[in-house]
Parts: sequence; C-alpha cells; structure tokens
Amino acid sequence: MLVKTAIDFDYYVGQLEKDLAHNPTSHIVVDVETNGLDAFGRNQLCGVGIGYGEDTYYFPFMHQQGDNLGPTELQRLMRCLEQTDKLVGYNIKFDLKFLEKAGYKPPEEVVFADVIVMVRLTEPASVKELGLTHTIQRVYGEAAASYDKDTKKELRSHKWHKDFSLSPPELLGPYCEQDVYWTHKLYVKTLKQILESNQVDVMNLEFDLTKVLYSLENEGISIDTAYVQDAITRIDQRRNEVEAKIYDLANKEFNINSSQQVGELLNERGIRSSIQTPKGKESWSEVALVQIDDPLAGYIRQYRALEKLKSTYLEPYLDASVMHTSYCNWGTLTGRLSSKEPNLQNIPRTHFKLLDRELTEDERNTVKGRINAIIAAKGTSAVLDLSNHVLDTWGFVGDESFDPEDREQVAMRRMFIPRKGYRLVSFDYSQMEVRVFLSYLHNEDVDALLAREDVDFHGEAAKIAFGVDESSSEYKFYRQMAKNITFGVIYGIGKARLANQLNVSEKEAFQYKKKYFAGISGSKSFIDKVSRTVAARGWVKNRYGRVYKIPADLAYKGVNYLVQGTSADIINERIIKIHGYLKDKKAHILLQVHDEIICEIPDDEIHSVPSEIQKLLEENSLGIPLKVDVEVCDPSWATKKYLTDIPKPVTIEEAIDWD
Amino acid sequence: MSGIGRIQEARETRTQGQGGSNGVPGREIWFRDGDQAFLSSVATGEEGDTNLDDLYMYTYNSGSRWVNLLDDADVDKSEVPDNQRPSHKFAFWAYVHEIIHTERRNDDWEVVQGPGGKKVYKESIHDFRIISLTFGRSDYIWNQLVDIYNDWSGLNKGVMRIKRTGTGMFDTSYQLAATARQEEIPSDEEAKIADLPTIKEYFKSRYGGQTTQAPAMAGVSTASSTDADDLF
Repeated sequence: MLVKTAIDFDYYVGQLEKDLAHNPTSHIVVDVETNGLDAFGRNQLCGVGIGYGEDTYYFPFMHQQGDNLGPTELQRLMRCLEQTDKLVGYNIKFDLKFLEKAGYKPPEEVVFADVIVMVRLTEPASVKELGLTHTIQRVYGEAAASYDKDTKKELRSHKWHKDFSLSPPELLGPYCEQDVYWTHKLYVKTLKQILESNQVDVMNLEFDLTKVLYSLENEGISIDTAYVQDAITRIDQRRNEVEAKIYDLANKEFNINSSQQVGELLNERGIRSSIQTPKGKESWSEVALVQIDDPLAGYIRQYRALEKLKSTYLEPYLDASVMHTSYCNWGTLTGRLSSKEPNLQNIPRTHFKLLDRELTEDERNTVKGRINAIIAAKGTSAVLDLSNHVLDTWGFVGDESFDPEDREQVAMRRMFIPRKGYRLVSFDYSQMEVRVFLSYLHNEDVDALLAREDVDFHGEAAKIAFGVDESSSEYKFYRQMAKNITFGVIYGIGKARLANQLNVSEKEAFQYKKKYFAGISGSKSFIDKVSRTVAARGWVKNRYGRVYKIPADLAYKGVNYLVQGTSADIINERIIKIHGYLKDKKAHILLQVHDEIICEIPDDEIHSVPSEIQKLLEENSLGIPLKVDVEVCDPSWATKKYLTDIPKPVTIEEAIDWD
Repeated sequence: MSGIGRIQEARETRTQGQGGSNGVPGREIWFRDGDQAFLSSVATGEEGDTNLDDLYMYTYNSGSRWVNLLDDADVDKSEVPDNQRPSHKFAFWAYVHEIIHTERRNDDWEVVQGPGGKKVYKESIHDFRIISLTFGRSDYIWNQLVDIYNDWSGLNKGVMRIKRTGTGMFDTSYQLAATARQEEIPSDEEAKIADLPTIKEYFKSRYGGQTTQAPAMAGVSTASSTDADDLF
C-alpha cells in the first residue's frame, strides 16, 4: 500500500498505533529507501517501508517527483516505530542509521532482529552470498526475486539507479514493499529453523550483538587527517623513486599498472610466470611476482603495494575526521565478525619503510617465510631460491614496532587516534584459538597448562610431543614445529602445505604430525570425532550451539569452524558484557578486529575501567581460562605501550606547591 | 617571528620594568604573594608561534598613577621620563585552569585542604589569559620556561604551575614548573584559540599609547591589586 496523503497516513498509521498499544510485542518489519549509502554524510532516506502482520506499506518522504508525506508524518511514523519491542530488517543496521537520522530513537529494550544474521545461522557452509535478492532466489526460486531485477532495470533506464529519490514513489514503493514482504517471509522461515536446530541462544546473542555493533558504528573512530595527508605525500614521493628505479632497470618507460605491459617486459627479459590466469594466460599478479628472481619484479610489486596503501587506506579518509566502519555479524560462517569500508582485518599491523635498505640474514629469512605464506595462501607451493637483492626489495615492509618520529616510516594504523581527553586502549586475547582448541581435548595435563599464568603453549606442546626442553639446541625448531602443527590442525591445512611451512618433505611432515598426535593426548581423537560426526549427520555445533552444516567432502574444516566459531562467540558474548558495563561510563568500545577490542577511555577512567574490562573479557560462560593483554595505543593505534607506563592522574592537591 | 629559540637569542645579545592601558580589557594574570596558577600553554614555543613573544615595556609613575607603555617604534614615548629604561618581558597565551590563593577573598573560591590541615583557596578560571613576566635576575624566570620547553619538547604538552612568592621589589620570586596533571584545553574552547590576538597585537592595543588610568580587570583574576606587582 503506497501511503502518500496525510489522510491515508492518519488512517493507516492510526490503526498501527492502536494495535501496537495493545500488542507491543508485535514486530514491525522495516526497510528504508535512500538516495545513497552514506548515512553519516549527505545521504538521507527518501521513503520507509513497513510490514506489520500481513500488510505492507510504503511512506514516501523525499522523492523528487510525485507526492510526499511531510515532516509531521515522518516524526509520527518514527514515534510509531518506537512503540514496538522488535524491529525486523534485512541488514538492519543500515536502515537504523537512516531512521535515527530521521528522528527515530531506539528504546532501551528494543530487539533488532536482523534476518541476514538468521539466514547465516540456517544456511549451509557452502552458501556465501547472503544478499536479500540472492537469498530469495535460493530459497523461493528465481521468479520470486524478479521484482528486484525488473525495478532495477527500470531505475537504470531512467538513470535513477544512483539516487533512488529521483524515482517516483509509484516505482520505488512497490519495490520496497516487496523487500519488506520477503524479509518477513524469511524471518518466519528462519526463525522456525532456528527453533528446530536449537539455536535460539545463539540467535539472541547475535541480536544483542547487532545492537552493540550498531552503537560502535555510530561512534566511529577519529582520524588524524593531517597524518593522512602527510603519509600520502611521502608515499607519493617514494613511489616516484620506485618508478624511476623500475624504468631504469627496464631501460624504458611503460605502464606499471598494466599487467599486459609488465608481462611483455618480463617476457623480453626471459622471465615466464609460473602462475596462469583462469583463461590460461600468464598471470603477473602478486603471487606470480613474488616468485621471480629479478629485482624489477620486486620493485613492480613494491610500486603496486605503495599504490594500494594510498588508494585503499589513506585517500578515502583525507576529508573524514571520523571513520565509521560497517560490521557484518553475518559475514563469516564461523560467527567471526568481518567489516567493510574499511575492512579492519586488512589494515596492516606493520609499518612501511619508504627507503631502500639491505636486509639482515634474519630479515631475509622472514621475507622468505612471507613469500611462502603468500604462495601457500593461493594453494600452491614452490621451492624458491631468490637472490639477496631481490629479497631486499621487500625492505619496505617493516614490523609492528612503528616509530612515529621516523619520517622514513608510515603506518596505516597511525591515522587512528583517540578523541581529545581520551586514550585508545587495546584488549587483545592471547593465543585464544589455541586455548579454545586445547579446551576441546579434555586432557587433564593440557587443562592444567591452560590454568597456568603466562604459559607458552607451543613450547609446552614441543616438550610433550617431541621430548625436548629449553636446554636443547633443537628446542626452537621443535617449538616452531609444534606451533605450525597446532595451527595446521586448527585451520585444517593439508600435509603438502604443512610440509611447505615446515620446510620438510611431506613424509617428514606426516611423521612429525603423527608424533604430535601421539604426544598431545586427545588431539587426534577430537579431530577424528569431528570428521565422523560431519560424515554421519552433516553438521556440528560449537560450544555456544551455533550449527555448521558441512558437506562431507569438507569435513576437515569442522575443527576450524568449532575452534574459530567458539572463539568468535566468546568475543561476541564478552563484547556485549563490556558494552553493558560501559553504559554509565564515558568510555566506549570503538573497534573489534581479530581477537582485539579497542576502547576509547577518558583520562579520568584510564586507571579504573581497563582492569574491569580485562576481567570481563577473561571471564566466559564456558569457563575456558583466557588471557587478555592490555595496552595503551599512544598516541595512535600504531604504537602500543603498557598501561602501567601511563602516569596516574595527579590531583590538584598533589600538584599544589604547599611550601 | 617568535619562539623560545629566537627570544633566547635576543636575550643573549641584549640584556636589560606598567598601569596604563588604552581601555582594552586586560587579559593578563596578576599574581599576589603565594598565588599559584595552573595552566596549559597555548604557545608552543616553536618558531613562528605568535602566542609567545618578548617585548619592552616602560613603567613609570606619572603623578598619582602608574603608566605602562610599550616600547615600540609606532608608540609615542615623549612622556616617558628621560631616566627610564624599558623592562624586557616575555608573555604567552595560556588556558588557565585555576589559581590557588592563600587567602580567601571571594566566597566562590573552593577550599582545598593540604597536608597538615593547611588550607588554600581555588579560583576556577577556565579561560584564555596572558602570562606576562620579566625575565628575572640573570634570566632565572625565563630559564625555568626554557627548562619546561626542553623537558616537554614544547610548551603546550602539559600543565605548568606558576607560583609567586614575596610581596616587594627585593623578595619577590616566581617559580615555573611542569606538573604531572593531565588537564587539557577543552575541545569546545580550542576553537577560540584562532581568534586570540597575537601577543604583539594585544600589547600594542592595550599599552600602545594614550596612557590612562588602568581600568578594572574585567574578567581577569583577582590575583593581584596592582600591575606594579609584576615588576618583580
């Protein structure tokens, strides 16, 4: 129903208000149409779609053609939405931002039921695409989603697709109502599936998390725009130097960003790529370039990396004093959070050096490890023998020890700074996945290890499995071996990749793994049990009851889902607790990335709040002994120091000269 | 051009002190015996910083009043007595959080109790003020500011305390010290910094001629009764 007159609005919304007054627990499905995606910028909603019971409505407010309702109606609609205890939406945080911009004030106890999260909880591991249209097609067939295709075709034909407000309510209204209709249908269907699979607790955890994430996204994190500008300038300067080196080595100028021209040039130098594109041509991607023993390839890769740093992490934030990322608590199967615009997981931890330098032998070995990891990540392996001057082109990749005073260094994390009067504090789970993995083994010796303070699990695993101790000259080797096998098990990597990582033959890798399993009692039986369960019933559930539907041929991934998923749900559970604890504090959570939570804490809470947060993070409903490292990111996310290094605030009494 | 370095240099090459104004509201803090101000410097001390400067001031008695006159090429100094020499001073803008007094002269001042039951009185300022001091004998006052600059690598990196001890010409001293307090200039106040006149502009408009009786220090701390105290 397209409601475009004040009289109709008064009738329909009046009925809705009366009904909600009697049934506040009834849910409302909501979907907004906007003139863009930037809720924190200039974009605004042009209409609101509502679903209540079997009925759907579209209320146009800011269409540039046709009839619109006025601001009085908009505010009345917002008050009406505030009457319900549960708002249902598809990727609801997006809708909420625009609704709040229009005046909606979320009631304290309201539940935000995000259907995309419910779909994630019910779909098999093989399903990657969770957008509404894809989901409708997958669940209800291609024809059910034809309205989306047809409307978008119409919008494109009038060039209204980039700004929906240009279209008339008569076009966008029915489209929005269809979205509402299908969202509601999916809500009912997935809710039933969740009840049947006994995942209600996980679903409620996710709904609570949605509220917390919405709050994090709204808060945003401050950006040091002066640093962004300065870093761009310096990167440009360095890129120009690298460009000159490339032309010098190539003896000619060419388009470095053109894979074709790069390929032709390298071919001229007698270099063939070991990697092929899906179409069978030679690939000159990063994984191909890292394997080429020619400094030209090294500098081309460095040039591209500098370009990427600038365009991905810096330029989008030149004019943004606050960055609002978007969290997806439906973005991964395991339950781990992902984020976009930007993807926080991808923001490099390391700094970058804007100069040429000769690496030490240790650094060259580290580079070889990085190259192996890049190659292994693409599912291939290669035995490389790269010259030192090629390895040295990796000299621009620094480590996590960023020196803000060094003009030859840039760090992407440096642009994230606290607001005035606040400090960024990092809470990082130490070896979380290893701890969760070990908790699955039900091994008394391992449980005793878990309970110990500052235990080095990999060292202990080496001692148990390989019978070495710290005094042995081979201890370091076996510790690394134990570490790789543990993570290999957690991430489900095959023996070829493990052999590559360990730099041994596949047969040797197999023998080491066998010895590890024999030493770490419970490890092999746990892995076997997961595989058997997946094969027998097609699903396993993590410690929070999150269900993973896994095809038999991917059974080896079961351990990873359980360990990563349980770790993720611990963080999800704890982040909700912290958010609750901080309600009456000035401190707030800003970011969650990997196993790290970044909070912004004011100076007058810096010596009281962090220890409470640390305590809340280490507690968990599963009783797994967890350890959280607390560091202050001062003056930015790129530089960390111990909290104890932050001087306690001095009172006026202490500062007065009493003599 | 200003900056710790430049003033220091000028002081080294020229070694060498009041109540006139042009009706321009005074923004300086005048200290009494025992007063101590806690402030966050707006001046950085870096080259080009116009929130810190040095200047020369004539202070002389003209009949029943004290006259302050800026020694500047544009200022008419014909009424300055022949035997007067200008006093070399430095001045900087600061955000003054509060001033501690040993005597309560205002009911609004809050009592602060110290060790042994000793009481002082806190006057909340929370406004931008000018700290104007002479260099002191053998530059001892100025040198304390330089020490803070060196310790912090800048003047605006923390809260400093300035305390006056003594009442007269021969027993007055000033102590400038960096403190561990973490107060900062509030975010909503920071925008006002851009509107502050430069030190030179302020002194020129207030002490640049047309000597008159010094007006009451509107909005300025009651830390002192006469500008003459600043001589010491």
